[in-house]
Amino acid sequence: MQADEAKLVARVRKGDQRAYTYLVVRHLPAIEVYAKRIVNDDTLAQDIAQDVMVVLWQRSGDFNPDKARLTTWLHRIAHNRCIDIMRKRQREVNWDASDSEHPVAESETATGLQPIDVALMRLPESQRTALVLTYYQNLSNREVAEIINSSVRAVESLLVRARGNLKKQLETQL
Amino acid sequence: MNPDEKSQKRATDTIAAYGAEQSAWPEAERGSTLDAVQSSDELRQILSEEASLDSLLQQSARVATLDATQVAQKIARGLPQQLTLSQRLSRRLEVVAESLSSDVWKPALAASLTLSAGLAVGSTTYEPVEDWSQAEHYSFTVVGEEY
Repeated sequence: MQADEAKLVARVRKGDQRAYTYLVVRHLPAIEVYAKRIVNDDTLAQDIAQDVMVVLWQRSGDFNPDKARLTTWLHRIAHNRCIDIMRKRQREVNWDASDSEHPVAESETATGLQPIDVALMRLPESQRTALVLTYYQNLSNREVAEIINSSVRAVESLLVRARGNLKKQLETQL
Repeated sequence: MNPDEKSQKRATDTIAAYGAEQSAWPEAERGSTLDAVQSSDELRQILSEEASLDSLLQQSARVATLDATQVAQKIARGLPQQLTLSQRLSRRLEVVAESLSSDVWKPALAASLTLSAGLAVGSTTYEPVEDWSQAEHYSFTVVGEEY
């Protein structure tokens, strides 16, 4: 599959719209859901996901199939976009210091989200990112470490803390 | 710490990080983690707790709603690709190579051969019927009259 995708990206580089559409259909849903879980704003997440696909179209020459899988490359772009947006949002909104690590508004509990989604949003960003990339996006610990620019050991530590925090939050349901 | 304790500690850490689902464990450690679980009641208890959290994680309601085909078409039709100089050059060369390897050159070659043959036949067989030997003289006369 990795070799197939490398060939498809090479075709995208030559302006092949069919190859591009195929790759977008394959990767956009995962990137969109990832962004939704990280930024907790559907419209913003859709913008991020589309931005990532723009990068795939415009700068596919930057992708090196010898270094990473396409999904890892796309997730890294999405991750960087999410971080930028969350930092910008934190600057714009005058967060109370105690809330800055878990920006969950009260109204978000009433938008049809499951308790697990609310609990995830209450995790510190780094723990949430590590858990979402590993558990929901099915990326390996090495890939997650590469995306968040960290070590495998640090990723595991984030995962242990994330799951521990979730258990505390969801105590009544466990 | 003896080897058994060490492998049990590593199995505990693996389950605490990746949950109860074996497929989520790092591939290289799957066998040893499974062995450690089978030989420890404490690990089986931890595994059961993590399985409960895994089932809650599965209840997440986030879904994708964008129409991927539409997004792809909108981007590909509306935005130019940003290519480096070397990518642009290589693309031009590929276009030239493709046109040479295709049948586009055949009609062009046929037309140029026909034209060359016509010129060759015309220049060897054409004989003027009028006497133009005095043509130079006439032209000088006409020019000279203007002054």
